[in-house]
Amino acid sequence: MSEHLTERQILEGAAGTGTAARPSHLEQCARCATEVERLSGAVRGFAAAVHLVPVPPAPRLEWAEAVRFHPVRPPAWRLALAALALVLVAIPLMFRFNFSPRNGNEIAAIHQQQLERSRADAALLEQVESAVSRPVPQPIEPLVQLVAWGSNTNSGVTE
Amino acid sequence: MESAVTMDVPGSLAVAAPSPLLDDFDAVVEQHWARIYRYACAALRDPDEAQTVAQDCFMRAYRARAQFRGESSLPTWLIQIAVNLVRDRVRTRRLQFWKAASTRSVEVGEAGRWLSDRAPTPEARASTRQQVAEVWKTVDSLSGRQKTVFLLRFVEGMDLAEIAGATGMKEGTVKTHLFRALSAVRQRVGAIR
Repeated sequence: MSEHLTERQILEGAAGTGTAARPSHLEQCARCATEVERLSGAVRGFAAAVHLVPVPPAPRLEWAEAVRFHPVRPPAWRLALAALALVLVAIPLMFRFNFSPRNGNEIAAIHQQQLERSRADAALLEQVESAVSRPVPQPIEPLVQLVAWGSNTNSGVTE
Repeated sequence: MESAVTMDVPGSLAVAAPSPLLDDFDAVVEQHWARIYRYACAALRDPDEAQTVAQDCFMRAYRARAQFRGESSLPTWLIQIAVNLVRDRVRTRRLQFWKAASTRSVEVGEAGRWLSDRAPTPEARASTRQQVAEVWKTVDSLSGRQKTVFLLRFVEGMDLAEIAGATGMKEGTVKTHLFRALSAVRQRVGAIR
């Protein structure tokens, strides 16, 4: 009798993909036959068990309608992958365009600039406020006083 | 002349159908539903997810029915769609690690119990039950490709060429995955001797 079957040949035997030389050996060698049978029996048992899992009835759908109301969406893992790719592209771009986080001094300088700007804005607003609060513009004020001085005469004429 | 496509359903007579064989779609669903559901259920172990996958599979098939040229058999084409859907589900599951596992997971140990009821002696029943449970555990621990190849070979009874067609792998690669899966099963089954 030839040597016992190798691991590969036993697997081939159980998978049903063996060579022609194997069956003759199995007829003569009880040990190898048991090995193959043990493995293929376990696999057959498993397959039979899967076939015993209850199957729900096939759905009765109007397929054309079902397809219309059930659009194809990319699977979630693809969306996650796309988001990851976007982040990976965005991070180098951030550094490229100098959106890097600033240090303490830079932040203080920015605050100072903002403070000065807001002060300047407040001063400008005050000027505008005082200009707007005049009843007439400053260059016309003397004329207004003149009209006020001769207002009695005028009123006499009109009356 | 319309090209003929053979639907070689394992365990049934081959049926010749015209190329637009998906015209009677209800009949196609009726004929292949169990097979697609069973594959999805064995791969995902969740009956709800398996049902969704099976339904999605037929929706995709319906959408793509014009593209079906009969280069592969209809069952292989449907299984190919199911394999892709299951792969997507598994990847999505990995991302949703915070999500609790379904409470309705399929226990093939349960099925193993029904199976073992047919065994002649209590010892044989216990042994069958244990073997089924061990193979089930091993299959669950296999890589995605190994699991797919194993299930298609042993549960669906597909040959290596059909598996290669359904998974897009080369036949040699299918064989390698199959042997790795079987080797893992052998180690586990050998350990419970």
